[in-house]
Amino acid sequence: MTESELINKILNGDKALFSVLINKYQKQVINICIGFVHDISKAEDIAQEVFIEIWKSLKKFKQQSKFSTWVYRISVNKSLNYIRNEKKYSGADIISISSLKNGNEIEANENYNSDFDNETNERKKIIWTAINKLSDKQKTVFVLNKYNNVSYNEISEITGYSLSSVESLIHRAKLKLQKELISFYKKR
Amino acid sequence: MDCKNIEDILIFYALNEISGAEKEEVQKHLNKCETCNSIYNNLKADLNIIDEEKVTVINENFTANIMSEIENISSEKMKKNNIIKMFQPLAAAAGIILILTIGILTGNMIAADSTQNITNTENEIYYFNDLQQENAEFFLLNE
Repeated sequence: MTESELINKILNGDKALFSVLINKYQKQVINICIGFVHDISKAEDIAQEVFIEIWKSLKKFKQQSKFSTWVYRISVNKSLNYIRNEKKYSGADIISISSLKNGNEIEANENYNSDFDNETNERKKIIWTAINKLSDKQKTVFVLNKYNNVSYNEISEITGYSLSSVESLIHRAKLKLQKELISFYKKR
Repeated sequence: MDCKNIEDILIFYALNEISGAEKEEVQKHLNKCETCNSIYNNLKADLNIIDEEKVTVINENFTANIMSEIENISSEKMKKNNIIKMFQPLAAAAGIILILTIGILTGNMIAADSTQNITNTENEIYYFNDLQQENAEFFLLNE
């Protein structure tokens, strides 16, 4: 059964078939959400909202673009909204690299270097902080490309940016990450 | 290439996005420069975190949870529709009563308006009568 036939059957009342769509896209949706929030539990919550939104708006999907494009667009929007709301209501913001450096020194006193998990966690914090410093546009194209292997052409369709803008945004995102990370290594 | 040039393209080297002569030059530099090599190793390790972070196994209840949520949404929607259906005859009756009341009130207002018009006409007649009350003969005597 093609995706279009599947969608039509769901729209005609075969609710149970929606689980086929969930199974097909769950990994991609969760990975996009993880790229924004870096927390599996939060990513699953957002992904759940994404699929409920898809269910509610399925009638509005005109089937003129790829279904995946529509799914990824909703995933990006829900993730960005989640981050904005988190910042707005809890005041939670990204951890600065300098604060990580202090954390590093504390952990070093607790034999941090001998603990593999601590090192992995430390690396996670470093890369997440650097990713969080990207602008929303840069973060969106970077996450879609690196966390979900979405092609530049599809990113252009998802975001509505031109192909050259997508290329430029990804290039600048990588340069910014490089700058942030190298500057952190040098301070360490 | 000096260290500065290497630092400017190191992320593309780490992501395997450069090739040919440029790639060879970076390799040569990293082989002889301990500082750049250390930065490269850190960068490579940190970028690998992205691949490690991606999920490969999904919570087994993920789909079931969403389907159950969708079921709840559907039954809520159905309940709302049933309530609307239940109140539809009442709403229709209320609408008819409202229209009738408005009709009656409007009719009464129009009737009241007509009565007032008649009274006004009578008043005008009264003024004519008033003029007719003037004593013409008395007026001529004064002349």
